[in-house]
Amino acid sequence: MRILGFEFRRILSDKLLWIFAAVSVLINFMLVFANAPDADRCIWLGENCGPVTEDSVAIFEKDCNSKLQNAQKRYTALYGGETDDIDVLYLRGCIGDENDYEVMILQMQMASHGRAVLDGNYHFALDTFAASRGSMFTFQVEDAHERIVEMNKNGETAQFSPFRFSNARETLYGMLLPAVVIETAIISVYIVLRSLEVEFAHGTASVVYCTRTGRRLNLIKTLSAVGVMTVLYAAISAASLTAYFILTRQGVSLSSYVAASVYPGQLPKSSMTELQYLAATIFVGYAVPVVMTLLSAAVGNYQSNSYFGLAVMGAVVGIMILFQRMCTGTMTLGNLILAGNPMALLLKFKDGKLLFRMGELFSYTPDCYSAPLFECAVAAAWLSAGMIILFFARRYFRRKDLW
Amino acid sequence: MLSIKNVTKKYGKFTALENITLNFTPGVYGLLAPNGAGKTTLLKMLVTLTFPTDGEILWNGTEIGKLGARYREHLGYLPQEMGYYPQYTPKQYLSYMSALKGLDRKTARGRIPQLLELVGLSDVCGKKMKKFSGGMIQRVGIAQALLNDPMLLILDEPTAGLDPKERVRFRNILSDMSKDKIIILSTHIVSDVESIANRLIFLKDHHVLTEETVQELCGRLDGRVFEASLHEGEIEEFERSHTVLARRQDGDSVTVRFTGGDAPTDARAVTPTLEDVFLLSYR
Repeated sequence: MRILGFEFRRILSDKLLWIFAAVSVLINFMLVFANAPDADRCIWLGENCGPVTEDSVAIFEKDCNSKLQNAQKRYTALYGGETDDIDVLYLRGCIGDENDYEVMILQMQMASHGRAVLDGNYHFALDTFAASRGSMFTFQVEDAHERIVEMNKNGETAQFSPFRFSNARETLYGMLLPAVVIETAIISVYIVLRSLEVEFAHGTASVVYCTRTGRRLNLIKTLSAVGVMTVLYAAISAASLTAYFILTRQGVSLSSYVAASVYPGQLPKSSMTELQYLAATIFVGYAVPVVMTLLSAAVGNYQSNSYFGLAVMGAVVGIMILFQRMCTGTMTLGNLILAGNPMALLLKFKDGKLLFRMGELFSYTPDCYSAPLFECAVAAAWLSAGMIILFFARRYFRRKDLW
Repeated sequence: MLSIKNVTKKYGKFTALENITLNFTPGVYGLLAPNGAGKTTLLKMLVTLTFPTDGEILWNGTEIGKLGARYREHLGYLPQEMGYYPQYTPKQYLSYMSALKGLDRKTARGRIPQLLELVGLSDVCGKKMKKFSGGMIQRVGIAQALLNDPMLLILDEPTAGLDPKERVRFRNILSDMSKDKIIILSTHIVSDVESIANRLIFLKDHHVLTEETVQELCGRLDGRVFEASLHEGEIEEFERSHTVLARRQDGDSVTVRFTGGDAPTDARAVTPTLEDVFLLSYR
């Protein structure tokens, strides 16, 4: 414990670490400022969040029809003729601005999905995946039914939740949390490589490694790096989330159930409130810097130069992303294996584009990233791999000539 | 207590040490050899920084590699190039080393001031080591080697960088400690071991050349070392027939310390020193 304390203090005394952390928080503040979601839309979504009932669906339907009719009347007055294509109505300036158009789209979606739930056709929308998604579809149907049974048992009603079918949280899950994870991963790679380099950089290795606990020092250094990284991850997350929730007007309650939200395109896997979902996302995101720390520790065990180590880790990350680039996202074993690296918790490739995936954690989307327990399996596999690499690195050094 | 049995160390095709057999019981052992003879390799094997290619090193009958941490807890080691953490004070450095050596906090708190006093660094114990001279760093190194009151103390060139006063102080420390410990001292400075070593080990061409006491070694040259006064012009001719161990300019003449060949009529026999033995062994 005393050595752990020494190593902890030594890592924290690195000025560059604090500069990295400060820059990270600054970047996150700028992300929040620059990408704050439209306040009116957030408030509208918040106000319309609620249980799916005959009345609430009727209100949406009535409102939608009224807006559509007004737009059609305006179209006829301006251009003559008739159309019910809302894209055309919007482009011809009959609906209003972009915000009005998006609100109308959301309202229509909520009305149609709400009606599907009330009619007992919840599974109907899932059919769109059926042709090409095979087993994925089966999982989704089973999950949807399980959830409906669970909701009935708990006396819950389906909710109109803005969470899944709006971009109200896009900044949070699509930018802010991935940024926190990437920043912490970079910092963790730096601190563990710097920490493992110290003995060689200062020529103290020969003294240290012939002490009683000297041969376990790299393991202790790795543990302290994980500790510092954990503290930083928590601190950067807390600072960034505080900025987000202060600076973004909230129309949405964090206690609403995302599991009961009515949007079949992305079905959340488990019955969570938004707050629980947020906590789970932060926790799963934590696996990325942990794995990067363990991999860096394994790299640091085999060489004594932190800059070379950083280059090796850069190459490792590059290979991970390349593997993911090769994954098409459809449900095959090959794609699952290609996608199954720590980066899969953060990134995904879809239609040739690199996307942040944190907004889609714990949800069924029709691709291999949404296989049952995918996130947990990836995190567990790489944590185990990291521990095994460390174990062998330690065994290797037990009887290795150090010079 | 410590036995080296038929140890050979190879680095690829290069043989650093071959078939070394030595036994150590409590006392001071001086390891003398010219550069490249394998001194540091031998010491690194003793402190488990490197391992023998063949043969074994035993601590109380058990191979040291198998003992691992149980062996290292009895070990104190000062390497040839003593590294340090520039941002640490000697006190912080010794606290860190005490944690690595497994000393509990209370023992460390008592031991660190004693050792700082012993090596004469009490007054600068709060100063960062980056401001220290080479000699001061070396003294911190000596203190860390003594931290765990080791049964086996291995010192590689311990007096390098120390001034004469500190060298004497250090020799006295070792002498006091040698009653119940094995101290192995590797050095080029013959005078460091001459006065305190119980036994001397000479390495030559990667083998043990001899292992004897200072008296036994010097006794071999009794009556065979002389001093004579020569003129400058005679030196070259004299060196062809004698082994010159030292020269000293005395006005117009040169006083020569030598062995071998016929002694000039005015030559006088002198008491052989360890340096004479060393020079003769590695000429």
